[in-house]
Formats: sequence, structure tokens, C-alpha cells
Amino acid sequence: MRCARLWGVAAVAFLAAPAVAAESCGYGTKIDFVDTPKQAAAIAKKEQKLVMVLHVSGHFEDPGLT
Amino acid sequence: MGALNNPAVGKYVNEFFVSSYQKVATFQIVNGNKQGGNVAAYFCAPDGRVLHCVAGPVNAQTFLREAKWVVETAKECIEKSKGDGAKFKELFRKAHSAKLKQDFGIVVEAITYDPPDPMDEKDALTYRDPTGRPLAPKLPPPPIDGPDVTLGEKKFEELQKAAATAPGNRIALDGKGRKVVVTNQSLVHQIMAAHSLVPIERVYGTVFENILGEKISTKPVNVVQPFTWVDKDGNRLKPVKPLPPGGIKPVKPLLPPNGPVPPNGLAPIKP
Repeated sequence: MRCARLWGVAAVAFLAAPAVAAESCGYGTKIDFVDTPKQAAAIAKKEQKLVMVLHVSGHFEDPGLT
Repeated sequence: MGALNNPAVGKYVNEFFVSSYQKVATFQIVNGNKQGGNVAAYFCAPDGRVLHCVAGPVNAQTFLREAKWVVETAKECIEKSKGDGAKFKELFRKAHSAKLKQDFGIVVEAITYDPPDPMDEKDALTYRDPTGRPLAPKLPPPPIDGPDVTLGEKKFEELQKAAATAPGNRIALDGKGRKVVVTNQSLVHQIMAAHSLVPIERVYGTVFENILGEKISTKPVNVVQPFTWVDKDGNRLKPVKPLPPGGIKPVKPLLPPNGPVPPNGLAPIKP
């Protein structure tokens, strides 16, 4: 039941796509990053979006990478 | 900065996703030295269950294609599942299996049943990171049944040749022991055909170790900045200069030494 409700919420996410929350940084990319995945999840739920989590390891300065 | 610096990728991702980052401590041993550095982008539901993943470095075109696939597939599955979470999971795993067949000509049967986890978090034999938490399990990929027989030999060969030039290409064996070329992205679909809609903390270990081939030393941690060589505004930071081979030269003292300390120690200062 809870799952059904969640996906009902997610369904609306694809119809409305408002601007991303405040206090986000790009770090030289075109993506707006918030500080933690937890924060991203909360905003995504509120704004009815999906979450993208980038896992970065080490120093991978490769122009083709990110 | 390739894919994430692309305006089209930025626009699409910012429109449909809220993005964040974590640091994963990994390393590879090359010639006896620790080396590390990789990236994986997870597309998740707001509750942290992974829908799809892009493993390793990709170009903007690939990244955008995968992001769009997640959004479109999620829309389709939401519509078909009619609010049933279990049905949604089943449809999404089957979608991964179908995508693998379509893009790579490899047939894998989607696994829609999640067996109970054999790893007990309280087990004394469970390997833990320095903070005491158990590491993510290595999820087994579903076996490759073989090439898609509807494609024909010529078409399958074309797909295999294309796969041989893609990042992370390697040889895998199918169920009958035949050699098949797999790539980072085909392996993602293969694993997701059995493990999508699983929490990110259970999936990341499989992506980094089984697909990207890096060892994980701790769980992901939140960091102040994801890319250590640029600041928040994207300005390049100056690298720290390494020490010279001979080490640091001793600095000459400004004042001449006062001579050796007497064996009885220093005399007390008279007021």
C-alpha cells in the first residue's frame, strides 16, 4: 500500500518538473548538486523527481570521465 | 569535464533528477602501488532504490541516452503497474533484460524474486569497514543464456564488434560456455535485470568491484566536494607539489649554535 502511494507520487514527478532546490553547486559541471543524498532524496520527494547519486572514488581527473 | 559538463545533459538531469554525490574509497594495486579513481552514477527512486546506473566514464551522448531511458522506462512501468510496487519491480527488471537484448544481443532472464539475504549483519564473520559496518554484498549477476537467436549471426557479430570498442569490454562465458563480449553498460543491465529496485547501499559494491574492478575499503561517505581538483565554482585548484626525491633540505639556523649542553643540564637563570 505504502509502495503504491510512493509510486503514485513518483508518477506525478514526470508531469511536473519545477526548478531545482536552492543551495546547490555545480563544481564546474552543468549539474546542480545538493550536499548529501539524504537531502537529495527529501527534495526529490517534495518536488516529485528522481534522485541521481554520483559515487566518486579517488582522483580521476580524466576529461572524458565526468 | 565531459558528460556532466554538457549543457543538454545538465538541462535534462536538473529537470528530472535531484543530484548529489558521495565518496567511495576504492583502490587498485598496480605494480605494488595503490591507485584509484572512478565514477558511477546511480539513478534512484526517492527512497534510494536503484533503477539504473552508469558505470565508469562515458561520453555525454551515452549519459543522456541512459538518463532518458530511466525516465521513459519508469513512466512506462508506472503506467503498466497501476500502483503495484511489486509489479513495478518486475517490469523494471524485465525492461533491463529487454534493453540488454536490444543493445547488445545478449539474452538474460530477469529475476523477479528476491531471496532472503544470506549475509547477517550481526555475524561475527562478516567483514566490516573501520567504522564497524559491514560492506555491501557482491550481488550475483543472472547467467547469460546466450546470444539473441532472432538477430541472426551477422547482426550479433556487429553488436559484438561494437561492444569490443566500448569502455570496460571483456570476455564472459554464457550458459553453454560460449564467449561473449560484455561491456560496463551491458554488465549494468545484466545485474539490474536481477537487482534493480534494491537499495543503493546493497548495489554499489557490486558496481565498483564486479563491473569497474576496484576494491572497496569503506562504505561511501559524504564529502565536502566531489571533485577534489576543482572548487564549488569549478575553478581549478593548484596541485600540491610533491616532495623532491632527496626530501626536504635542512634549513640553516639564523643564529649560531651556543654549543653543547653541559652534562649537568642548563644552569638556572639568576634573577
